Amino acid sequence: MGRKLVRGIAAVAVASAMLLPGAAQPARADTDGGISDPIVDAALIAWNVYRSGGATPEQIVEFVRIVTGALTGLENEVIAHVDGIEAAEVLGQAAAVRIDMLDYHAIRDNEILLETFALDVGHYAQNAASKYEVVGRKAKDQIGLAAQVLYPITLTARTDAGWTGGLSEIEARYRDLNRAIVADLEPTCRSFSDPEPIPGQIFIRYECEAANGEKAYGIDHMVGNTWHSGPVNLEELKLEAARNSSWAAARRILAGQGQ
Amino acid sequence: MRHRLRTCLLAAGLAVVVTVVPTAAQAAPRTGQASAMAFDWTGLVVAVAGHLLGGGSSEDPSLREAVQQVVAAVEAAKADIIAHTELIASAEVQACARQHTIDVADIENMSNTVRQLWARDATGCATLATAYVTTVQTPQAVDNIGHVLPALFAIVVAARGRAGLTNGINLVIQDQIRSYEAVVAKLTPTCVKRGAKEPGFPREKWWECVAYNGDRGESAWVVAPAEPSRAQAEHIATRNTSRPAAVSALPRLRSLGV
Repeated sequence: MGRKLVRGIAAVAVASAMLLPGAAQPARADTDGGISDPIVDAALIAWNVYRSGGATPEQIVEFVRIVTGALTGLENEVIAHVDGIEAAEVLGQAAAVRIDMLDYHAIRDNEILLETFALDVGHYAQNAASKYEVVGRKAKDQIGLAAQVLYPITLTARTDAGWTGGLSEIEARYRDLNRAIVADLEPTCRSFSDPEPIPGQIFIRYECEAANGEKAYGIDHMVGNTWHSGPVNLEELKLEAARNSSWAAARRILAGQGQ
Repeated sequence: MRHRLRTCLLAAGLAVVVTVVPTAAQAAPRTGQASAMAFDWTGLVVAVAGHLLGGGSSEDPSLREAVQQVVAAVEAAKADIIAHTELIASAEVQACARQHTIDVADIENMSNTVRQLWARDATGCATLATAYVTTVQTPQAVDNIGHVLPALFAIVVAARGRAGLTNGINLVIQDQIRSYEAVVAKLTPTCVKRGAKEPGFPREKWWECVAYNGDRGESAWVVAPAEPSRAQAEHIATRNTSRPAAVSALPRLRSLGV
């Protein structure tokens, strides 16, 4: 009874949020974190929902808003240049979830529909994790991004449906996947020194490339004892290159979870 | 007042569709290749989606009428749609497109819960087809999916509209636009601009295009300073592909403003 009441209140709140203009926009689309911003936000809300064993109406409203923004970013950033059939399948499934999330208030009003939705998204997330193992670096990144959104939705929808039995295994699979992403998809960096060095000066150009092909650049330029540019922090340069890559999101999600 | 306006718009949209469907139904036996595309699927989608995007209810009689138009159109073109699905290389897309084409006939017989589940399944099928069509590279593979997309998206819009899952309709239309853009881009024929000059006559110019299936198209010959129409030659060359339907549908879908 109590749960039903909470669900009823949440349904109204979710429905209200849906009426807000720009509800599907990323949480912080104008910041420098790229697509990883809303993905990390969604993952950490889902983590809190998972740990507390229930979702408040406010959490559901915020989660729907952020996750639809994350999925919109995913579709805009990735789907136009999907790398291979495996990634296409996963991203097609993520696109379907994105559409359904806009109707989440209607879905959660129907117990069977909510449970089926939770099951389906769980299958999609598992499919993404399995496909991740068998594809190349760029497709791994695209599938990783999709999985990073699908798993939080699975955790939240199952919690919302009262299906808490398998959550710890699902959360563990999600954590393992993020660890694999951190290990597999670290941006690669190269440095180029001045071919004709000037005595008393240091000039080194750095280039880091993320798994999605995006790059970030930095320069160390020191004359005498004065830095005109740099010194470059390679970890920060990697994060900048990977702002639209699953690697940066995985690192931030794991850090946010204290892993 | 707004409701009446919306109902009138829907009725007007349906009137256009209703006049098109019988013609298409008559044309259906003519050629197995093109008949599934002869329906004004876009008119059906615009009528239903326009109603829902304008705030119309899933229970409005006018929406039910529009959904019935989709059902009737799918029934009339079912054999052709299924024939095209069998050419799709992806087993998943082939299976789901075929199944939803068959299932739509019973949309009014479903309980609302099953209808909502089925609408979600149909949506997943359409987004999968969109992902495939944006990924596959061979024109034949694109074309095979391209032939099925119009009916599939009409089913999805009707299904979600009838099931009351209407907030995501704008994203469905966005996906439909995205998939059609892929079809148009990937089935663009190879074209060459030609010119000829006979002594005593002005120079004439025209476009010649060859589609992936070998069909050729030639634009009308024009005399300078007029320029020949490349689009005309492209349209003629691709007449037996899914491209012309996608080309003509895009501005109408974009006009929904999603």
